[in-house]
Amino acid sequence: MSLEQLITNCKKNDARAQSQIYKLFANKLFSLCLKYSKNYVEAEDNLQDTFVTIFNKINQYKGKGSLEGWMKRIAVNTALQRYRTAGVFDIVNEDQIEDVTVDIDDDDVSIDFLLKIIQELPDRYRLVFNLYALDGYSHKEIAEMLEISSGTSKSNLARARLILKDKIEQFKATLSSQYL
Amino acid sequence: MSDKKNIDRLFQEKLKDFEATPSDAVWENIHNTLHNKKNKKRRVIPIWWQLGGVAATLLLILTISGVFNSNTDSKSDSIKTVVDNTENTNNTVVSNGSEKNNDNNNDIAPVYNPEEFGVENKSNDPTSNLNKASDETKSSYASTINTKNTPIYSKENKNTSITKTTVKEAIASAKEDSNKLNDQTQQSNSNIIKNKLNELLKTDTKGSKVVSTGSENNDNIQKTDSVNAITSIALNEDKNLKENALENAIAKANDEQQNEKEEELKNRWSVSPNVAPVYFNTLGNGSSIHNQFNDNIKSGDVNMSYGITGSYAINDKLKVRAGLNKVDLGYSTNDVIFYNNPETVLGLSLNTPQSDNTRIQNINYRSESANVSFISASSLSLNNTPEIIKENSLASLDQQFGFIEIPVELEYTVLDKRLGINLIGGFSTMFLSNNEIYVLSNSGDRTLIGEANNINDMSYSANFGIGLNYGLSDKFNINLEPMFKYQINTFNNTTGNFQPYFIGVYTGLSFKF
Repeated sequence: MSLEQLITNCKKNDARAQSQIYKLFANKLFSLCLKYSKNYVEAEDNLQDTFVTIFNKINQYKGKGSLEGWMKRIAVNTALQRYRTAGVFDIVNEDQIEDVTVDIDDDDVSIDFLLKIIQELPDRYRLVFNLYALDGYSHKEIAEMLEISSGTSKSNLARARLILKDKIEQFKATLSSQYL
Repeated sequence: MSDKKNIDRLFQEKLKDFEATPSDAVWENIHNTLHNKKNKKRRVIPIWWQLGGVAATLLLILTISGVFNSNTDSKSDSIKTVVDNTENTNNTVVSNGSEKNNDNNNDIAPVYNPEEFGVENKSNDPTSNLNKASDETKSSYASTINTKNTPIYSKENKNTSITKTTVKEAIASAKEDSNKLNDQTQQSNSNIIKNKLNELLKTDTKGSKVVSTGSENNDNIQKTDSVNAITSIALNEDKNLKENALENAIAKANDEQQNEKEEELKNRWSVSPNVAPVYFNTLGNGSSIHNQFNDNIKSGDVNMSYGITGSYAINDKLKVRAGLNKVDLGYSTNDVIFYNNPETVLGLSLNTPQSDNTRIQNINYRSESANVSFISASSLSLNNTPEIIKENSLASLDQQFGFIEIPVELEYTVLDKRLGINLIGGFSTMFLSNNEIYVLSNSGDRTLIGEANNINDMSYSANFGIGLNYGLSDKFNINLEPMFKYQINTFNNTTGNFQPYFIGVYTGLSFKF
């Protein structure tokens, strides 16, 4: 069955079509949920809420843009909804913001480790880092989505990068000490 | 090969093709959420609407008939008929229209009792009608179930005997389950069971062709589908497999139905004790006591009303609610002259004969106050009035009455935030519980002189209002509801343009469960 046909059937609340759509996209959206959530359980909650929203609102999807893009936006919004009112207002001097680089071999770190340290970030840092660095939103867009100023978005991103860098470097240190 | 890497790029590259598989429970939850909710929306609400409609119609009929009666029957007629009906005819004193001075409380009491009987019978009407209505719907459900079952039985005779027993079992248990349900959800749930059965059976046949008989009735098509599905199972699989499939289907249907019930009941009900200051007055010039007071200034009293209201949310916009309130009302007719002994004022030049003006037909006097007479100060020429009367006898007539009020109202949600706004409309049925008339002299003495005989024991009001509520938590709300209640047939022999109403600002704390 074509994707269009599946969407049409989903609009009729057809359980089998919904199941097919879920099977097609669950893995991709779950990885996104994992990145935006602080742990596995919360990611599953977000995924569940995301799909419920998707199937309830599927009539609003008019075929402009890819279905996957539309679904991803819903997933991101679902994740943001959870933290919209959480307030962390660290102000960082914007002069401090520079490219944070880390001296590391690609193969040294696993995906699981990277995911773990993303999830360990404070809520707002994690969201800003995901939105800006991984999903390509601008600071202006992030500011609107999170109801913060774009200055806050920038400083949150800088903090997030520094924390991630520290953790990777610590990890490297423990690795090299193991080899000694 | 270690090199300096931008940290963003590191994450981007590593996580680019990252995918993860969620546990199966996630999909089950999604599926349950979607399909339970949809079923609820589609099937349960219309039944509530129907019941709500029946209730509203009954209320309307009661109200109209009430207004009609009060317009055509005079007070004495209605008392007479009630007395006749209840066979309590040992007392006929008041039935003549109570013009005599020697009416006293003992005479009145037995008359009011039979009238209350009449009231009670009347008030039982709507409930018995409601029962009837729900019985009717019940039996119609039953008949639809039966007619739906018939094609299955007739079909299965043509099939193998093996299918016969299993189908019978399935239907028997499905029936049993649907019997357990309450009246409102009976039809919807048995539909769900049947749909689930069809759905699951169809899946189990794995695409084996389902033949439709081409019957015009949709239900029949559905049913024959399921029968054909069962037949093809019988052909494809052995008896055990088939029994398992059916048992699973039924078990699953039971589970879903259980879930749905729980979901439905969640926080639909709320109960709210409330208290309100109420202000009574009349819209036009007129008097409930006597026509000579039509143009006197009336001042409304502020009294209290308190009670409890229960409400049921039909959906997220609409609530039905009913309650029980005690409400006290009252107003004063100012500038009234009263005097105790008729002889002392015979010398006064009264504009109209004494018998018309000074004895008031709408009051049943206490024996102690039998000699008290009233006239409106405006009917006296002040020049002729002796000083002693002006000083000592100027008073106001203070009429107090109380009701047990049963409001039935609809509440429509306009704004559903932490601070919510609702529009409220409905009716109240009011049962008279207190009825007194006092004289309040300018010197401050307050004397009970009797009670009004033209207040109906049962009357109605049309209610409008705005509700504000503020959420303290998920369970508790503070409510503030300014309400306007227009009384429809509270008084019988009013003069002038007497249109009583009262305004109350109801405050309460509601608890959802």
